[in-house]
Amino acid sequence: MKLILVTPAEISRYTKLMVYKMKKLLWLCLFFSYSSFAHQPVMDMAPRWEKGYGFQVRHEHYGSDTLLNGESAIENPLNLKRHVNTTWLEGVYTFHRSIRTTFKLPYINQHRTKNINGVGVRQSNDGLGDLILGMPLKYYRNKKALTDNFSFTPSIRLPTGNSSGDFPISDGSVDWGLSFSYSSESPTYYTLFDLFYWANTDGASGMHEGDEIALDINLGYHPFHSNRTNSGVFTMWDITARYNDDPSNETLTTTSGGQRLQMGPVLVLYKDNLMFRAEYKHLFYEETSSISNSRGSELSIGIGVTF
Amino acid sequence: MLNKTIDTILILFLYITLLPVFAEHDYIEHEHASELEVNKPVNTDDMVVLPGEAVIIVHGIVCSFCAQGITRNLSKLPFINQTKYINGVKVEIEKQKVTIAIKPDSVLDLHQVFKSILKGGYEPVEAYLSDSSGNITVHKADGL
Repeated sequence: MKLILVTPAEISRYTKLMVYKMKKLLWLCLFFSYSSFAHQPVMDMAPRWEKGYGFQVRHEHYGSDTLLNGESAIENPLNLKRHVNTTWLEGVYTFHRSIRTTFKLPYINQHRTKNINGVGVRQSNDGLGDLILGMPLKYYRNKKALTDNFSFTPSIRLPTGNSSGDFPISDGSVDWGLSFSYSSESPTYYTLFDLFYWANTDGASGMHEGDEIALDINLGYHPFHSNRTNSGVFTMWDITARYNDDPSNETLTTTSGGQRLQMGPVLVLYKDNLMFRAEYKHLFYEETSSISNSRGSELSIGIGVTF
Repeated sequence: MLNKTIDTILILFLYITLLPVFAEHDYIEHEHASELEVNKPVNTDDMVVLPGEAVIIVHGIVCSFCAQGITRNLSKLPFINQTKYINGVKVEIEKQKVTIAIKPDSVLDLHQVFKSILKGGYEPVEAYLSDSSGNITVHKADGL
């Protein structure tokens, strides 16, 4: 038998390496989405019945004319700006309440004014974006007046969007995501906590969007429901904290990494199998890693149906 | 800064997700029996069961938008009277109650009722029926 002696210095080095690798793994496990799987009646709450399916069309806008350097807004003499409008077609199919599959396909219309050699140049693009496929795996617990679930969602983002042009829709990479969430619901209250991570791989022409990690918290209140008409109102307060890694220099889809905190109200109206959702996310805090336009506040409206 | 952000997010997330696991809930856990207990008279002062109907207690049923699967599955059953309520089914999320209307001269199959609710994503607990003399009996939904 061969005896291997390990010095305290080596143990310390291996421990540090393990911590580093675990952190890396955690990042890989957590980073999944530009578009999170946050609480949405059609995609998250329903359908939870076997062989149920649903669709949702959602339009969202974000963008700003404000130029940031770190946390500070700076002068913007070239009027640099970036605005992105996205219309999402989303679908879900439930095999069993514990196993679902989802898709999200965006149509993106975007424009920006970029500083190129001291001149503000307008760039724009539109078209289908990257297709996101997910498989939410849920563990439900049904109690008397409470239902809750733990959810684990691996996802993949396929480069179906066009990665050419000076302001491409996609970076042309296959990306991987993972979300871990917990939600609970009573007739009156709703809560969701969703931690997710997107690991972006190398795409076309050396583009590499930075990885992303985020925590979404939804606190919901159910002020009205009619058993007779099967209709009602749902309100929520949505809190999102995100961190974006820096993109590579060759990346044309985005210019800067950073972190931000957004909060805002959500209103959901439903009647039978139809629902309408409107959401406003106010930007409370943002820090960019280099000079870049602020992401700004976000507005989203959508309608969904389940069968 | 990055490490600080990650640590804060993780600690917050773990705290939030683990808290409910250790929290004491005031709900009553449903105890499973091995088979259906039928025709067992019960004292149900607060339970109203109309003739030609059955009331089922369903755990976790707190959102009607999410419980459409139950309505859908139940209304397809051959003995459901679709002319009452919404296709023969009424869901009361405040009381975790599902009322079904039964067609006259048809045979109620409670096992199918319980299975339909289970496939709808929820846990049926027990059903209350009223006999011809007005006595209410409870039928446990176990062994599914």
